[in-house]
Amino acid sequence: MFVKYLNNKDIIINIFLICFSIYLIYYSFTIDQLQGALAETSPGLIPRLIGLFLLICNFILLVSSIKNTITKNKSYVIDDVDNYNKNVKNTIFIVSPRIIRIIITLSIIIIYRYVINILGFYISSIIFLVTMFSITKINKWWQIILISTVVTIIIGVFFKELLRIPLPDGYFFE
Amino acid sequence: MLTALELVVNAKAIILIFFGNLLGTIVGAIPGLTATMTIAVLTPITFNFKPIEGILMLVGIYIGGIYGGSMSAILLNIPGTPSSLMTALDGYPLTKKGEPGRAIGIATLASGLGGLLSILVLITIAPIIAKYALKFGAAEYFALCAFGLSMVASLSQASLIKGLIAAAFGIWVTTIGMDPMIGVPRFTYGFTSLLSGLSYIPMMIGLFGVREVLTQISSEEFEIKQKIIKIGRVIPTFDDVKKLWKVILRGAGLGIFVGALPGAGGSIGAIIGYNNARQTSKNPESFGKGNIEGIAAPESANNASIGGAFIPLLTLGVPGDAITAILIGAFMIHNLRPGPLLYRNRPEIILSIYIGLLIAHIFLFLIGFYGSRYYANIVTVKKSLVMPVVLFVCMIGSFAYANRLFDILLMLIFGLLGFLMEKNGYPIAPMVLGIVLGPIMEMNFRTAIQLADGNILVLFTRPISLILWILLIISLTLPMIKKNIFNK
Repeated sequence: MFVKYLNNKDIIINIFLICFSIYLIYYSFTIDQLQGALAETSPGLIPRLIGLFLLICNFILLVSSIKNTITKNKSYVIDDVDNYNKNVKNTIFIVSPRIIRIIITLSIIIIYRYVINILGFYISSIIFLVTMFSITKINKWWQIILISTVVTIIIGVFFKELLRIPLPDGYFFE
Repeated sequence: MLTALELVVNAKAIILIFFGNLLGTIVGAIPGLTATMTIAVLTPITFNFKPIEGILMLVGIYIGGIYGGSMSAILLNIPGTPSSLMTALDGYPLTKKGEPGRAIGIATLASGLGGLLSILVLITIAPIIAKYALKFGAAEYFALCAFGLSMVASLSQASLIKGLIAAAFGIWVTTIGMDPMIGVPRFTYGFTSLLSGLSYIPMMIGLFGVREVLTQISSEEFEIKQKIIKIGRVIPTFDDVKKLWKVILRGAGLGIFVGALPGAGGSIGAIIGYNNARQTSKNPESFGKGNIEGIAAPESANNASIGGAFIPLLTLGVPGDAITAILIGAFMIHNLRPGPLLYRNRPEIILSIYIGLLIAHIFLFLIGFYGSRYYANIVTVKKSLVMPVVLFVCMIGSFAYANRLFDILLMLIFGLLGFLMEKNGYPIAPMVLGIVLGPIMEMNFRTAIQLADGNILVLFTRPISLILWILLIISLTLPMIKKNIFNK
């Protein structure tokens, strides 16, 4: 009945890291080695040692996490399947506004990385900042646009003109 | 000496030190923004300066940032940086009594004096250690790095094993890319952008800048705006100085010692300094109620830890904590490798750092005594206004480092990783040290074994490395032994 401990976050992380360390050990044996070189100095040695070390540490943590779960008697009993499903939904799928803010922030960064090549530094940066300030609830629209524009121009001039760092112009402004 | 003076005593270098110091103080004063984050974000722009000018600007941020944290601790009871945690205990009650200026003045005096004393100790002791460190071979360096990592893991507030996992993960990250000895690709999966390894600066910006932004935007206090506070007289009275000089000296001594230990930075120095001041005070019961000794001791100790932290950084090339780990990266992007060889081959760089550190502390007095009444209210700025700008600067800083858009994604991945690690109790500092020390450890490990024809025992049998391994075992087992004794 190992599954019943799976709602403990630490245990899930430990299992994931154990899988990762096993992969590291496996991968380390696939790395090429110079013919006739010492096995102790092979390029796969350090990843292998790291993998072993992570495996041991995570195994210890896993055992102690399971022990803690048992002693605190907080583990979830899955005799009632409906209850289990409800609990899983509560712990994983209900997303708070704060998590939404994080997801949007991460998404905007990824979009920015691709859009900057098309729209160029200035336009994409103003759009980025306007979106970010909208998430962080600066109330007035004129404030959002003014701050975004001023910040973009200052940073742009600083990096482009003073530090001579080439920022993308975009397809339309080349 | 003359060359060193020429490098530092010129208008551009002095302005950069002053700018760094002022920026560090302001950033440190804003809760949530730390000197570590600012140094990580601004390291790429130092590319455009002469090496020593860029490094001294970052050093200015470091010194200002540690001091600036006391501002919000005193005015709002919110430590601006972790090292000003103890300052809030007596600083804020003094503000409530209507004496915020007095508290800021004492914090400035103690920070400046503590820092200056630590630099004097650094100047005296460091050359002796550097001379001795020239005798270190590959086995000793490997043992030293392992010892540094173990100390950071064991002193981090999270669990020891989680600290060790974070450190090992940091070392693994450095194995991505071409193998440093025979050029075999590792963990690259056919991506050419991974062949040269992961860039250090975007990783640091992610771990400190983006992580902090994600933490702040997911916090409850994100939209709170604080009230403006009237500061009053800042310069300490003669009576206060007379009462405090012994406390400041003791705090500085403890701060220097703690700062020199790998892993124990300003925050631990401040805690030890505060406790020592309370134990030796004539009025221990007044601590926590606005006792000026409770402000002077931790402030002296946390700024003194800077000079202490520079001892292993400059003499051995081994950073003691996250902030010096980022500084070592700044040295490296300017092709400077801190360590005994830098003392022997480029003494003018070392001397200019000493002079720059002294100048930065003089600026700290000026900024603290004469500027604080003007910029102290920066602590009241809304985080919802600051964080998008910080995130934007993080992205442009990551891109500017090598003009690669891939680095923005790298920054994002490490920001998210740092955020998740923090939320799950995995400390960031050991991972950062793992990233810095990983390549040094691997090179020295393999060199030592190759020189000994595959005899792995060479890592443990040389006298200095044996001592370091014994210290490593002690540092890892002591917390467990202590815990068992206290539990009984």
